[in-house]
Amino acid sequence: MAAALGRAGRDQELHDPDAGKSAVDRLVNRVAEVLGVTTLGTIVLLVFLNAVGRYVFASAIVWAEELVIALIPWLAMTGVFLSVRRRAVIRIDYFLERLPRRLRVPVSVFASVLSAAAFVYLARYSLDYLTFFGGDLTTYLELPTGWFTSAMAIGAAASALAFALDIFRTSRSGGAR
Amino acid sequence: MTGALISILLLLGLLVLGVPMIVSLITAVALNFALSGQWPLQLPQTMVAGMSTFTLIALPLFVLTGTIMNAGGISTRLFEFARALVGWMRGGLAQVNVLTSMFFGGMIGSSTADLAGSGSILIPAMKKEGYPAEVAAAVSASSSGIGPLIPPSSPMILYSAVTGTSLGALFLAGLIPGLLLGLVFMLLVAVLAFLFRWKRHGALSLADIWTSGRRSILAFGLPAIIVGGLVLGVFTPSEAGAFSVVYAIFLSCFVYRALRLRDLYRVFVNAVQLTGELLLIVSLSFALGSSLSSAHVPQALAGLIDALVVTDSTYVRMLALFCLAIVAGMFLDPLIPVLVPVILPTLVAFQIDLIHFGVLMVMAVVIGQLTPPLAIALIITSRIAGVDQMRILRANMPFFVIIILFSLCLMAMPGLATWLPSMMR
Repeated sequence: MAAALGRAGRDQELHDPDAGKSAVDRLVNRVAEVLGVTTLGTIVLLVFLNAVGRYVFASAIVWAEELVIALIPWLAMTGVFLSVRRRAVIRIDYFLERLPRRLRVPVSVFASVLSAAAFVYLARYSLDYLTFFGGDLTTYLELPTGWFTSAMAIGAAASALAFALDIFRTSRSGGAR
Repeated sequence: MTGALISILLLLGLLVLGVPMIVSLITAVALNFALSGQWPLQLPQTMVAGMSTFTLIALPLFVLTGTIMNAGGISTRLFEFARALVGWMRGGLAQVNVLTSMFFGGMIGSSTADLAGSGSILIPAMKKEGYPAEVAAAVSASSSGIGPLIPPSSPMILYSAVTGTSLGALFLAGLIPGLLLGLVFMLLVAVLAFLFRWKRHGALSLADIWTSGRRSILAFGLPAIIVGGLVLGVFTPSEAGAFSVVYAIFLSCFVYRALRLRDLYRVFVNAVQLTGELLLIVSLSFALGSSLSSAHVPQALAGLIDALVVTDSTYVRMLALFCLAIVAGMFLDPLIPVLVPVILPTLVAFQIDLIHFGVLMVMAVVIGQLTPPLAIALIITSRIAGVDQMRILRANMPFFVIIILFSLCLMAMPGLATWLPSMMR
């Protein structure tokens, strides 16, 4: 039983969520994955090295915290994009599942259309935000903040596209997806 | 104020229709901006500001630690140790279930990961040993609620990020209640085992405890890093998260040799996907809180609670807010980023200890996971056990009553939560 428990943990974390998907779909998701993993890996390394530096060598990396915080929008938006692509976004299914079958498809389509529209709205104002404030420099590294906040506009636009593609595919399959 | 109420109703309506939580939040905030004449540019501005906290970094780091440990063969060792410690008792497998959840709580911090992992094995095993399926599911569902109290706890990270309360203090505040709840569950299992004549297997073996303890001792280095680092003031919670990740990689890849580099990539991807959406929800919760504050919703809520409780007692007000959190928790998951920004000014106005209330909020999250319609713990266990949720709900009643009583005790005795953090100041 103990061995089965170990296998369950491994299967839960290591299964390939894109198994059976087309090569293009896998490639798109892989690009987002690599971006997300690089961002998270950088965050882990910076926080770890900064703490080690402070305690072991009594010298902290002054810009580490600034860079780590600046990377959060990229981490958030790549994660959201992957969740949208893999239909793993947080939603309450309880009531939807109890609707009559004939109502379920139109409500799902409405949810997807609204989702695409909401992300277009977020992308549009994130772009404005980027235009207005993207040239501001960070305190220590003096990098344009737009390098980091652009994640909001790019991630929102990509998520809107992912929802739009999902609507297109659902309509082509007659709501069977 | 009317615009804010319409926005809240829209938010709830969209959630009920199955619209993704992020989208519901964006739509509700956008509508409130439009109705109150605020500049929509404030949405990304508040979201970026909300994300820009060092505390929030703890969330992906501890989620990553949990996924590495879960994939890295830790559950096998923890289960063997738990079985050696309590498996010989009457109702041993149910006791093992509770104790494994306590161990998992100190390392993984997510009740759903605990359920999906250990529940998928322990529920069928309990059924095989003759436990009724709904009882096996109920024990797993309830005991998974211990994890969010024990550090590292994802709900506490969210609460800290939203309220600005010290995450280290919150982690320590949850430790004693988490361990106590686990012990109370074990007592309840012992009583149920006696009443229903559950089976006893084998006898206490000190040799087994020694062997399995030695095999799992390194895994317990993780909670030692987290709690020890915070108690001794060595780490900030985010740094404890980074050290936990490095330790978990070292253990899983080089000591247990259960993970390869390719596996590590997949584990990182899972952590990115799990936390990305939560980070965005937290940032949207700032935008929601800010727009509702502008509409004076918290003041109206405070006035409403004052009118309802007709007393000046902080405890009665806290009880009213806790009941509100429980009701909201029945519908919302994650609960904290959506509800807390709305009630935070009310908590401050009533001079309620934010650390104490943080632990109560986690209890509300746990209760929400066990109460329909959302009841994620019941949904997962009913799928694993192949039993109707309502049967599990009935079988879970003894545990549920204990959780409610425990929450009331926690409310009446704030020292249970606040004593440990106060010792560390």
